[in-house]
Amino acid sequence: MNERYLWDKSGESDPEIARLETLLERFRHAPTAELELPIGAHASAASDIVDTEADLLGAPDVSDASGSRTKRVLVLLAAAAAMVCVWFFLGPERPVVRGYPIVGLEGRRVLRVGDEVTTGEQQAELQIAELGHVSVEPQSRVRVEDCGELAHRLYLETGSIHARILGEPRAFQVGTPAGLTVDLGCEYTLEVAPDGRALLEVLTGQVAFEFDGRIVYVPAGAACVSTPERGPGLPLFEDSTREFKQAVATLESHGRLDSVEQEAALFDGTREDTLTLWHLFDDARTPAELTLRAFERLSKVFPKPEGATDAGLLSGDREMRAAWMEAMKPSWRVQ
Amino acid sequence: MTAAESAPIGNRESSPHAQAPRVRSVDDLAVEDPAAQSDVELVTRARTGDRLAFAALYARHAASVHGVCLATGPIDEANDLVQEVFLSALRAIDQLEDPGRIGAWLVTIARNRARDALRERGRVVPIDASVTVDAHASPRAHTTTDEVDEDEARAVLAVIQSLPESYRETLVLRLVEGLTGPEIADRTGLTHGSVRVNLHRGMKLLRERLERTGES
Repeated sequence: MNERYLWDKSGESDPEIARLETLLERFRHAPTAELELPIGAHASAASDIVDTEADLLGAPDVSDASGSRTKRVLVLLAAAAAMVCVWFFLGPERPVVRGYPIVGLEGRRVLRVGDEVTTGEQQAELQIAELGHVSVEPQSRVRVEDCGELAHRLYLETGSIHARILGEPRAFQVGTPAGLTVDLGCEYTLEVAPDGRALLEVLTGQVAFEFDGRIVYVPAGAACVSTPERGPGLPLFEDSTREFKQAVATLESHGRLDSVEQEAALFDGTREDTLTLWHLFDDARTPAELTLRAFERLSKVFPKPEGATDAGLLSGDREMRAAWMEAMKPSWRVQ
Repeated sequence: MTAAESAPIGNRESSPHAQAPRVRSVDDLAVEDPAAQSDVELVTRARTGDRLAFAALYARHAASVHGVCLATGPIDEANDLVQEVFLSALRAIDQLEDPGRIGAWLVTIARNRARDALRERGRVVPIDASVTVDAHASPRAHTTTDEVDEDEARAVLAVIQSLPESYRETLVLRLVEGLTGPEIADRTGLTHGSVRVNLHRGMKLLRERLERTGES
């Protein structure tokens, strides 16, 4: 796939993409399509809209006094709003739905705590309170663990979900056999393989992957694989160089690097790649020599925060490390 | 006709006489031409009832709104949904907090309206296991009648609609509406990085699903 052509149509045309463009352009919005607004010949757009509302409400036509008409419509709208309020507070008892409405499956329409949904060939979409939506992809199994008592929390047993959440950090969480993803205000895809491994890919914002007291931050454009045995591995940006990715893969699978070239690729990466190095540095399981190499590289890129010392950072002082990481975050596409 | 009247609009040098009536400059045109104005300026004018300004906003953002409607809503209702979205936007334009983000605001309205339209139909986007598409087939390999192309195009679009929202929206804007990555970012309020990731991941997923449905 020609990434340049996909991005801005520059460079050599990609045959596969060009074919899809040709095939799908029949659905394109016609530039000549006109906007059909209820606009009269001489009235302004704003007053025309009021006219339309008035028509909907059955208000009499008083075309010679648009100001009084506006007032009349506003009075009618206010009256309608007042009626809704009265019904809201004094009317029949409102049904309390403690669950997530589900669209796309026959039968049960609301998932409550303890409920589980299994998709076959079909996708299902959950409305997560006022926070956003979660698409449960085909061949997936999801369970509701909390509907907002402490947080909104699902458990993805297997398959894949796509979450688009706009809410307070930590308001939405998804458990997996390989750890808990905690939404920090973002959009992401989470996939769980039959063996329990989880792949997290973040599109916007950031997600914290938590496991056994350890926290891995995965910002937009980055991904992280987690296993039930070891929890989340090193997060890395999807557009990092192939050499960098290979070095990380080797390190993850063998616990060491295979060559000088791999060391160079890992420790001489881009400023963004310090995301990976930070988590290597901050993982107590990392061999001492690699911790030191990561520390040296990070020290070159980011000045240490006020009050932080080499000894404190290396010995694992949480406050010092947290302050240092905050200074790095702007370089990690954290929005 | 005086020399000034015959001078090309915007060409200041063509009116060398200080006493001659001042011709319109490019700057003047920029002020008057809604298409040349920023979203903020257009929203400000639209709020006063300036229909030309609102029409310019429509011309600028209709494609992205259409793409978002097409990505989620019923295919045959996309054009109607675009009309509804802009009508809703006009009604609520005074409530828009940041006029500079009208693109993202319109896209949000479009997304919600498309979902509503889908719910009104009482179904989700169909994931039709019987859809058979071969994305790698050469165009020349087809006996390209309009009907075959139409069926295939709808099948491909259905597969795109089955992708996660951010992927399908970005892909529709790129492949159907013909916007580039930077244009998509500009119209939707997403960062370049997010659009790039959506395009990359979306294409990867689309290819996988097209191959899968092609095998079924």
